[in-house]
Amino acid sequence: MKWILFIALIFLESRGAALSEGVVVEFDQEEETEEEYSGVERIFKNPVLASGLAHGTVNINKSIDSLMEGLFYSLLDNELVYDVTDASQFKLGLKRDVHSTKDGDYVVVDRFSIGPNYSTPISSVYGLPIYLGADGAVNVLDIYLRSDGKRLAEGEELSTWRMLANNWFGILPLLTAILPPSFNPNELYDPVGQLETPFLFPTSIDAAQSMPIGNIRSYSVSGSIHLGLDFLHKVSESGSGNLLKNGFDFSLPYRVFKQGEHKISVLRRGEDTFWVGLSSVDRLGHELSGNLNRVYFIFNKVASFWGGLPATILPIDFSMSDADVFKFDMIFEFDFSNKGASEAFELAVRGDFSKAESLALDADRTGVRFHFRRYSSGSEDARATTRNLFVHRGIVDRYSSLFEVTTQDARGEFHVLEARSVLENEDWDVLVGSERVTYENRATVRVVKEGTGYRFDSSAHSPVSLVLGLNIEDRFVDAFELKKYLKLIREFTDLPLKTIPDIPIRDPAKELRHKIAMHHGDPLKDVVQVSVTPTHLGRLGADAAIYISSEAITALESQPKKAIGAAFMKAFGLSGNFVEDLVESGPMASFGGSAVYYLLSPLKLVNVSSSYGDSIREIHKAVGTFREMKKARDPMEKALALKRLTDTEYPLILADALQYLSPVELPRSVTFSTKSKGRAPEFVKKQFRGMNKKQFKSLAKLPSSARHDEIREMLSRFNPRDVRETRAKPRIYSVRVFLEKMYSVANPSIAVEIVGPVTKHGSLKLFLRIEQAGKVNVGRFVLFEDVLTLKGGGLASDQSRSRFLFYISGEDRVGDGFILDQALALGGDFGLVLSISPDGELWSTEKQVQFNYQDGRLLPVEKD
Amino acid sequence: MGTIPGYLLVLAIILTASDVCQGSTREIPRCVLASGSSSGFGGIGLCLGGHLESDFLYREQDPKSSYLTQGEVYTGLHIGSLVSFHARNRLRSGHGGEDGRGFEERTTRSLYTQFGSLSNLRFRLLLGKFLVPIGINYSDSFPILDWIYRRHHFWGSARPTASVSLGDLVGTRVDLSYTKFKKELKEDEPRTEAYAIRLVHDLSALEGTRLVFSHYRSQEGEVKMGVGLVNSPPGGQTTIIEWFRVVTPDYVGPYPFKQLIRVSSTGRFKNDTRMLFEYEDDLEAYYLTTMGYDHRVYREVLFRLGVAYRRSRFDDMKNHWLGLVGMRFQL
Repeated sequence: MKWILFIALIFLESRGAALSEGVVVEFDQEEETEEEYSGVERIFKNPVLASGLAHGTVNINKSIDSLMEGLFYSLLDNELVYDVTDASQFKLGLKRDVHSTKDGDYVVVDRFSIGPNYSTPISSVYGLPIYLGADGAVNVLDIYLRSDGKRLAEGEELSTWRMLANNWFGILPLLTAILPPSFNPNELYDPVGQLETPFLFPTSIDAAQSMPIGNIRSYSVSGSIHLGLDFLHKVSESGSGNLLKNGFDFSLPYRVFKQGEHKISVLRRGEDTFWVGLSSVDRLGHELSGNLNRVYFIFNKVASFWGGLPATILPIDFSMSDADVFKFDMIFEFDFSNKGASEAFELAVRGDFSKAESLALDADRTGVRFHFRRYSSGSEDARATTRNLFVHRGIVDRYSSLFEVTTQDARGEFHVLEARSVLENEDWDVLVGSERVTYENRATVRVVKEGTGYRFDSSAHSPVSLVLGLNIEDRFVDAFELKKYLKLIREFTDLPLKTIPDIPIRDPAKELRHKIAMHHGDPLKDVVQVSVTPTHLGRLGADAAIYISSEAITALESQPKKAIGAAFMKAFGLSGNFVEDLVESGPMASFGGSAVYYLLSPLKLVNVSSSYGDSIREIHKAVGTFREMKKARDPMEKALALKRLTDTEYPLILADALQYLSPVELPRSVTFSTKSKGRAPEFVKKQFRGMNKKQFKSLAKLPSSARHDEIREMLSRFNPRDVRETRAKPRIYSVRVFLEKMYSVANPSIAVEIVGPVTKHGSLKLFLRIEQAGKVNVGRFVLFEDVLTLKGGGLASDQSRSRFLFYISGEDRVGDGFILDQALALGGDFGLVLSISPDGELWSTEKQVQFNYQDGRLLPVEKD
Repeated sequence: MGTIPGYLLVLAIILTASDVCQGSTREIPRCVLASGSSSGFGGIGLCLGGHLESDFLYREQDPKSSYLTQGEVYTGLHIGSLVSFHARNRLRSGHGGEDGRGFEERTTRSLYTQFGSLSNLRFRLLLGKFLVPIGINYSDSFPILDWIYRRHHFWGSARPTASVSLGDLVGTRVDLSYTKFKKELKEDEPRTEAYAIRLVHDLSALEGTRLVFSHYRSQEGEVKMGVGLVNSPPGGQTTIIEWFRVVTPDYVGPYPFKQLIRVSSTGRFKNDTRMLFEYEDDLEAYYLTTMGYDHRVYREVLFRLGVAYRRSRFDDMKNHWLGLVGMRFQL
């Protein structure tokens, strides 16, 4: 009997020890490091930067996460239209876009615009009216970072009425508590602040210093005039045709346009440092677009006062445009710790940079620094096809440009010819959001101005260079898609990526259980037994680049025509002996290929194409372009030929073919960024997390950033897509959830210990959200959400870190939530969302910890 | 039993020996009785399961039946990994009504043989008498409601059928079925035949989602079609959304077709309890909302409590509430 008691005591003791450990989560060092890209790998960090400042928020393509967005977020997108006459209107608009950053913060873009709009028929051709239109607008933008911690901490300092107004008088916290996690309260928070947008632009030092660090505020004046007609006007008027009778609308407008925008932006870079950017863009071009659409209103019977949620079906939507473009960009830096900078700043934000220019001559003394002035002139053409079926959307965007760029920076003036082509494929659906694969090719020719023309800049390390880039962004990637992406990256870079873990597509243990259950079940009822689906991993990003130097381009050009044709055939996966015919005779060398090409060409309007049909033409084009490149003696001819080569619907084939063809190894690299989410087994999560920041490089080294790359990098700081916290964020190193028996052995309290940074006064602000961590993500229950001040952080074993302790149950627990007490009494899975800040201003990345609390026992959440 | 004016009260005591072979609360079915293989496949296995339900009805203005009982037994016998025999029989009896007489009805819901397996092979053949596999046709809340509201009108009854399934072992399969039968109440007429196809595809969205598309056509031109979605993330909860329509030539009714939309959700067990929810919209008859609550009182014994509200689609049909109490256990 004694032995039994002894064994039982040991068992209980060991169990108690195990339980007292609770749930411990250490956060990887790697997860916290700032992303570091250099040189040509930065190509995709700024996918829209070459368009310059003027593009502004037009480039933000907000991806709608769920139906929730359509239902709620449109509350802050409003437009008032006042009809002045039959042909003219006056518009006033307020719009909010929110998108997430890789480190969990959100970028909020509030836009205010006001201006007239005019459109009237002035003549007709064959019964088709010709319209003249013009519009103008004044726009003000406020672009800022927001996190949940920041949002709640801000509430502590606001007056009661403002805090209530910001939270929609209690409706917003309620929605946050009950709606799915995809509901983002930052979309609706602070409607009053949005109304303030038109008055926020800082025209004085005081106003500028009230801006949070990282904030961008801009104002612009824009206008356009266009002349156009709709080729399908007659069809629309008569209402004939089956599609029109079924409520579809079909239009095919063509227009000639001239647009312009002038913008001044202020970016607060640091405590006393501000950048002021001036940009202007002028476009003269023409555009043909067409679409077939129908708008349905769903849930329109729910309430009599609500017309329903508009659901647009656009099976065909395309546009093609060409324009001559002139752009100007300039950036000055002002350091307010130097009093001389203040007056120049106030003049600069009003558009007068003369004072700043003179002070910048002695930057160290005056605090005004001139970064660069850039003039770009050239042409750009864009093609976009979209298939929008409301719950699923497929977009193919193709853009190419050739610019002569003259830049003046602190070191003097330099010139480049830049050809750029982008192909972006985006698939979005209502269940998993968007996945985007972008190819971007950029050819740069360093030149010296000579009279009205150019000559190659022989002083440059590589006067002609070509960078082929691939970027993948998928916020909901599973193990099957990961394999697909890795295959694509391996094909693109020809890097083996040997240390990338081989994650099984499905969990083998779950698969076996499912098969056994299927085998022994009633076959007539197995339709509800969903098979084990590919393991959800989380978010994946990848940036790959191939660099081709002047020498490599020369080596490629000198390859025989037959070798060029053969390399492209191999890349297309074609076999046969007709390469010589193809090279000499052109596309007609393959009648079948040409026939397929011509037959399927119209389907490109709905994003359908055949690589077989296109391959013959692509190969022939590539051979011809190589000939042009070789013959080119003038830098502009070279740039044009490079643009022709890289402007392709098949950038992957191009990358493959160039690597087959190159006699020397081309420098390549790929960098991954991953963030694990979901309920994959822990070892799979660890494998996926381990891919974060992993970089693979070829033996041949990539060059460091060139001068014009640095300019692009600076410009990108004004781009809403690239807004991110540049200061070093505080870090949560680990979180431990355990039972504390100090006050009551029978009813121990749930304690949470955070290891964070050492703070000045030994106190720390903590954003804490406690949720019921159910497995169905169709709804959630937020049990507690607040910002707390933790005091008395003792030093951790590592002297550079502090420990902070708080309780979520028992006498000393945080808050006084009745709901939290009840939920803990019932037991189950719980989730903590934590973020810390030493000052309430700069917050750490949010961390999540889950635990199970049942009958006084604390355990990790069971993995399925 | 007392009267509640204007209401239909159903007090259902459901004693359910649920389908153990479906493994509703277990990860691996307990029917692996004599498996010759450690992997769970092969050898000989016997599976037993069933339902036993008893219902007390009181209808104040139309007291046709006051007592209903429904029992169902399922048996599966597996010989090796490629052949198995399956049978499901049901007994229904009632007592009461205007004349107080009882009635009894025995039905073979299915009796068939399975060759092949979709677990290990890409092929399966079902031969025998069973309901043509179309749509999802799955309601987990209170099976007695199937009878009360005659939902079987949409899917028909068991008939001699052959069904071939071809799958890819991971998440896509197609079921092709053929049946030859005599129409109900028309025994004198020659046999008619029908074809059905059902496509099943699984997605990783929402941690496990299945899409089911079905189409059925009979020689007389009767067409049945359905689209369904099953979401079953890890943890045991299941959500099913199904749209099903039956178009019969020369059909006379308020609409030229019959249509049922069903949304049902079975929660996961948490603290030995789980929630059930079901909503149905029968285009010709009613909107039915059922909410239930299961409490595990001892191991596999569940206590079930529910409430349903049936709202008629037309003014001349009455709305009513139903109270449901039941018990369910695994053998």
